Amino acid sequence: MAAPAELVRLLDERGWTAEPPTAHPMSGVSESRWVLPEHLVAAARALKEAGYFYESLTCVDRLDPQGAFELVLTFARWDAPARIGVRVWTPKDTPVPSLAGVFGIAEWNEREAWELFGVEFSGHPKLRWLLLPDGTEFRPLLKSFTAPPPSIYDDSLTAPASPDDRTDPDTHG
Amino acid sequence: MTAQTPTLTAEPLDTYTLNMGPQHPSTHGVLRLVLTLRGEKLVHVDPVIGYGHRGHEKMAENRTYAQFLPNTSRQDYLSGVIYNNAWCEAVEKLAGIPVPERALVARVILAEFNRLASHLMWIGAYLLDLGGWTPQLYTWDDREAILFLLESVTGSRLTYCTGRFGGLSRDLDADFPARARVVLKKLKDRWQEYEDLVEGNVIFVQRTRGVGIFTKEQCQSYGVTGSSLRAAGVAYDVRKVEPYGAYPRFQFDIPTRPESDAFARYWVRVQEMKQSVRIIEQALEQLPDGPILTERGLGSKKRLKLPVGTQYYAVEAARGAYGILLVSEGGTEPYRAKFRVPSYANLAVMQDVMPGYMVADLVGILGSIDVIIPEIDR
Amino acid sequence: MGVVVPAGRPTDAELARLAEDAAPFVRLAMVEDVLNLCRANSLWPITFGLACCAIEMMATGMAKYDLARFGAEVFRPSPRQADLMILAGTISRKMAPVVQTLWDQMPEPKWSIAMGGCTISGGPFKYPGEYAIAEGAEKIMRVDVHVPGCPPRPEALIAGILTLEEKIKQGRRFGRTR
Ligand code: SF4
Repeated sequence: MAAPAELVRLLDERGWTAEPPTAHPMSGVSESRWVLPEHLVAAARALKEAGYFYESLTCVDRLDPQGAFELVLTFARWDAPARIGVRVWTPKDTPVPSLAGVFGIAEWNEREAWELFGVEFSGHPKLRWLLLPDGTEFRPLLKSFTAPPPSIYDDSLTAPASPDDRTDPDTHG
Repeated sequence: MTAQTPTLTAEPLDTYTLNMGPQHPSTHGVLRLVLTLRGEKLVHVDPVIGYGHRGHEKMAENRTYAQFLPNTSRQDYLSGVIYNNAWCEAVEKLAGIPVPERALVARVILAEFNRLASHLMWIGAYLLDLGGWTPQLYTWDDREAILFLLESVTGSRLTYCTGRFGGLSRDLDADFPARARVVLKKLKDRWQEYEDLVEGNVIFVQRTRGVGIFTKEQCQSYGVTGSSLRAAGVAYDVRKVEPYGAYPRFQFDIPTRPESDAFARYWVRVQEMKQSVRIIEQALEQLPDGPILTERGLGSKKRLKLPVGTQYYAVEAARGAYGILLVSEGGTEPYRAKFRVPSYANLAVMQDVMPGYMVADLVGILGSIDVIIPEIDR
Repeated sequence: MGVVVPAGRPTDAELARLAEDAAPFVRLAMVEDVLNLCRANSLWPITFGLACCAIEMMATGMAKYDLARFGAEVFRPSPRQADLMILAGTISRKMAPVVQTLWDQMPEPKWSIAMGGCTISGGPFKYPGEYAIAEGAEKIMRVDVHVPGCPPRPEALIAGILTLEEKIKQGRRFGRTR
């Protein structure tokens, strides 16, 4: 049951997959499925047993009215061009079950999603800052994040706030 | 014993904590390891990362696709061409931009030269970590020859930005193949010297054999890729498993070794360099004529808009599988870009691998996996 | 001829003549100048790389560019043995306090070179709303020489070191002493 198609059929049969909440297509993977958060750990176990490794976790701030994140996990194999995308839709402030007990690398990936977006993971052994300095209050990768509080490390204390000089694509680049 | 009696049982008294880094000559940049030691034995290793965090992923959301190009080669600055190409290819794939044949092959040539330069740099730095100064002078000498060649095409020595959506910004000039062959010849003449200098060196062999062994379960659990995985006996190479660009046209082998120790990782990298030379030789033979950039001139089109979608694109970088997850909402900027960097997993596995070894082996193990810290921190 | 030293306490005129006679053979300079000359020609940089620029810093010390020609190749792993900090790479906000500590640990007299756009102003990573880096090394410490580039070529770094040597020889100290 190593082939991606068989594996996702298995996930479907066990009722672990969900209806897509958005219509965004995913490419670059052999198969992709939306999985309900409560079935995520079971699905990851099945993938691990089938010989897949945890490749990446991406959190996307979808700016949903209810404040939802999309988590995109990819799993790949060593012996065949098979990549499975597992997507999870999670409302803000609802913890997602942690995969740290299944895949070792999930621990770091989830810490990253927590510090950059504020996604909570239940059952994570150590949900602390990974890349940012300990104690950072803001969640920089949220779409609502505009600037960090002024500090001695940036020009905000010495120079007047500059207008958004986001480069015009036609004049710079 | 009353409730007020202070107890120290939380920490066993026979261990102590040692802080290594973030400024340490052997942590290859700005990695910090918090070591718990019992005597000379490592009990627990806790990598602390983030000292090179530069916010690439937030930047990607603030830049157009073309404006983000220079950032890619600053993630893993030792294999900048590969990352640069990967970004271009990911965008090309999502946007459906055709790439001329010549550009495909030229990308392979530049990328393999970059891989050679990266591995050479690693060999020098690793041997320096283990206490050998001389090999570094040799490998840097070879590396400079490659950089000189790359510079003649790309204009930069380290942070390349030649890739464009739909090809390359500059063409390989007419005498490039001849100059490239001179460099390859120089490298091939050096293999024997490296073997004599390094593999025959008793100190090197004794310090690397049997240390830092990864099991396959650890590799799967952490997603270890690249030479470290191949040294554990798994022939996983994105260039073979999911061929991209012009790679399917070339003959090359995936060197593997079953021992999974630091020596195996050294050996695999040296063999990989030989395979890279093989690929370049074939590519130089087959280099087609024609344009280097597609007619549509998308290489310079600033207002490139990508269709809505989520795209994963993987390549084999010098340190392992590099992946770009690109989310587009149809704008001129990525909605979200995530970089799956190989060093991330290769370093994380150290928490599991290191305990049990002597503290003196730590540098030998850490160096052998070839991590680039700013790539991990992004 | 030779210099004749008169007996007894010399008069001012005699002293002046003495100095004139000795001028071709004796250089009367302040000890500090001599020390500066020595310092300038044996800079000991700290082994300390932050990002991409560090690779070019290493290249400068290696076979082709050979920093040893200018007496600045003795990279010291410990800040307590170093007198030059080449800030090569991006200073992140997490790293900034560490850089500051390292700088404070280096004994005086000490100098620093900001190598690359990142340590000059934040370079490629500076944009409105940027949250991760210190926008230039000067936010946290004194910088003597700036070497622009991304990364600067080894020749540029060598030029920077030579500029610093000139500066040291002239005994000049700029800016804050922190
Ligand atoms: S100036 Fe450029 S090359 Fe140097 S550290 Fe910054 S990004 Fe890297």
